[in-house]
Amino acid sequence: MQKNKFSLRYKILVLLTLIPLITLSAYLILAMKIFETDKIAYVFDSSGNLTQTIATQIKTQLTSIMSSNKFIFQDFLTKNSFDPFASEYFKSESNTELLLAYEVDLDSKRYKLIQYLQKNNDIFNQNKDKIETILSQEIYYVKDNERTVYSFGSDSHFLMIEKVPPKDLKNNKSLFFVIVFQLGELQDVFQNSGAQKLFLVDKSAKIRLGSTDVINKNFKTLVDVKFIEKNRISSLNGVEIASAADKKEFIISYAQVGIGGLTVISSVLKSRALSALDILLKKSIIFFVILIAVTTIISLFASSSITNAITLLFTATQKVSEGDFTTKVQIKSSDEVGVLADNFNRMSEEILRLLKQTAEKARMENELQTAKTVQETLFPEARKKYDNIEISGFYEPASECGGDWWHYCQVGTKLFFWIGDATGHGAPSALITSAAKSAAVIIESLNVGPAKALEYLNHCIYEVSRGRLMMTFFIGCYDTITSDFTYANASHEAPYLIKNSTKSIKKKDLIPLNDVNSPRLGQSRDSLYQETTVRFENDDLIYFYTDGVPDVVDPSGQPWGEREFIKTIIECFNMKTNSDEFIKKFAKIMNEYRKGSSLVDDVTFFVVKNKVY
Amino acid sequence: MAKFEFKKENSNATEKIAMSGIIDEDVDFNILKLSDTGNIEIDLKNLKSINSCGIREWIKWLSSSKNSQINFVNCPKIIVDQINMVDGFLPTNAIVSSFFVPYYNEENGTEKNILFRLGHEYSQNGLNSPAKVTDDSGAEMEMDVIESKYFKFIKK
Repeated sequence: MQKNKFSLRYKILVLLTLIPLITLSAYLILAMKIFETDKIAYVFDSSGNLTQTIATQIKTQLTSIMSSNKFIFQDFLTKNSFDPFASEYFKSESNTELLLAYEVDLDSKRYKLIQYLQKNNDIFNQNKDKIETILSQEIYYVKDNERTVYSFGSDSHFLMIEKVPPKDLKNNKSLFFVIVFQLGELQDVFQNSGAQKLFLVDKSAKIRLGSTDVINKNFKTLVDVKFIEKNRISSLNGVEIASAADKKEFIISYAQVGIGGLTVISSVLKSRALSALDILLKKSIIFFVILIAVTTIISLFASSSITNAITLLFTATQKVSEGDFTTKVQIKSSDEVGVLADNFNRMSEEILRLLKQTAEKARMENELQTAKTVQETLFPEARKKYDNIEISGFYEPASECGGDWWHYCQVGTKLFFWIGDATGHGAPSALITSAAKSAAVIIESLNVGPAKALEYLNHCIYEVSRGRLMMTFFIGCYDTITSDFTYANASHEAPYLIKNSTKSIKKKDLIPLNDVNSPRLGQSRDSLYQETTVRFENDDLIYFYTDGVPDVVDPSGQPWGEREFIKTIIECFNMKTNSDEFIKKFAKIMNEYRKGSSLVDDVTFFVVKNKVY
Repeated sequence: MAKFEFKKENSNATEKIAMSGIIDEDVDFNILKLSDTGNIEIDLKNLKSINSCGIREWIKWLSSSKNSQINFVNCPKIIVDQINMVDGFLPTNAIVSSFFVPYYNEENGTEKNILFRLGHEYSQNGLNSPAKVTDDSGAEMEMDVIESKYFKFIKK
């Protein structure tokens, strides 16, 4: 028997656990991917909006500053100085801290401060050197009517330079107005940004506003963004993911202010932006663990309820395999397992019944075998010789026991030959033959003729069977002194007498011993039997048989038939041999036709030959 | 195996029964009750076989009609064999009006059943067999029976 290596219970458990685990994992991976994509899109969107909003605000503020100072500049161009009215107007303007007017010789690049306005008495002194350092560098690059914004780098002030083209072509001198201003609250936005850091960079990608540790650094050195190429910002706005030197990924959005080459950049660590994703993943994992744990517990109970029934069935089948067919399975469920258990119980009951039946059949077969053995003792030796009389016979029952019987015996100077066939065949018929044999033993001692012998035998058979079973019977008596053969027949197949002949005999030479005939044995209690006498001389032969002989069939069920039967008797007789060879030859021809087919009736035949040597 | 069947009809005060199939222990002759008087004609042409148990039932059945005149017609060889062998198979109140005699030609392997009729091919005085029986090819056929055995009942 194959061993139960991996219990069905654990298989169900694994199955019930693995299915949700695999399904949920697949769902989680898919959901995380979608969520990540969606989140990045959201960050891109919000970050882009932020930079554009701030860029717009800066642009608005710069435009406001320029508009406010435009009147002062125009007044200066007219009067070549800041008059008191302009000075008053300057003081009322909130964002501008310092306003300077320089005259620059465009050929020599020398500059000269003409006049300035300031709100704070120290601001000019504090920033004059820085301003002029920047101016000395920028006068080469600033174009006519172009406004360029710079930061001082160390504090919150910006300066914007506006170049006024020369009035006189001969005098190649140009005015440069420098406005020093603060961005106010907007500066705080850049300096105190949280997870999302904001930078204001100039046209060369230098950081002008942001956390103090990155001021004046090129943004490209912090994060390798694609929109900055050769220290120039290539597009107006956009969003991209870029990596820093430490391989950390950032989501970068940028928007150009549109004035002074300024660009607002926002930067957020991608992992930080997607931190919600991590939270979702962790919470999902916790949820999944709980779910799998619950599933496992439920599966344990579910598999137990299923496998308990199957375990009962398994145990029962083991007992059955060990031969215990009385085992019953008590399962009350009404599902397939319950039906299986019911069928199992019915099957074991049926096996038990069949076993009993088989045992009973074996017992009966055993008894039949015993009966067969006993019945075999009823038959005489197949070959016998009494002086000049040779006897040879053949008997084969259709089943274990047969209804045919033949016999011979010597009583004084007479030899008696008996052959009978009970109704049907099998055990009931065999019992009748047994009765006939018993009666024959007694009748032999009575020294009576064949007719009287049949009369006594009829009494016996009738008393035994009460008309339910009958027997055809033929008794012949050979007188060794007179060579007379006296016979009586109780409706049995008439034996054939074949007279001595030196020539080959033909069908017409077969003499059926049917001159007398009487009712079958057992048909009537008072039946009377006649007998008659023929001569049985040297080289004469009598062939006795039962009706099962011509009824032998071949494998196709075709009977041998009387014609072939008669032909075989003639063929065997014409061999001019002894009785034993006659029987052997006859049996050989019959069996060749039969080819091992089952008999439809018992087969008995024997010959008696009178042979004087 | 052919199942036992019968047809029964009355014609001109004669009860006519036609049988076919096999007669064995399963045949219940109680459903085929015979009248105890008058003429009964039993046509056995299509009877295929009869076994020893069938013979017992047959004799019991016919013995229920001892006062009628039973006339067997078209008796096949299997019935003639039983008539000759089994005492009582042909009751004393019955006669065989016609029966078949098998003929064969060994060379051609041809077989033929010739109907012998009472008063024509046979009578109680003996046989008046056809002088010559031939098969379809004109070859002469011989009787496929042992005459002294097969025609034994005629002299009864």
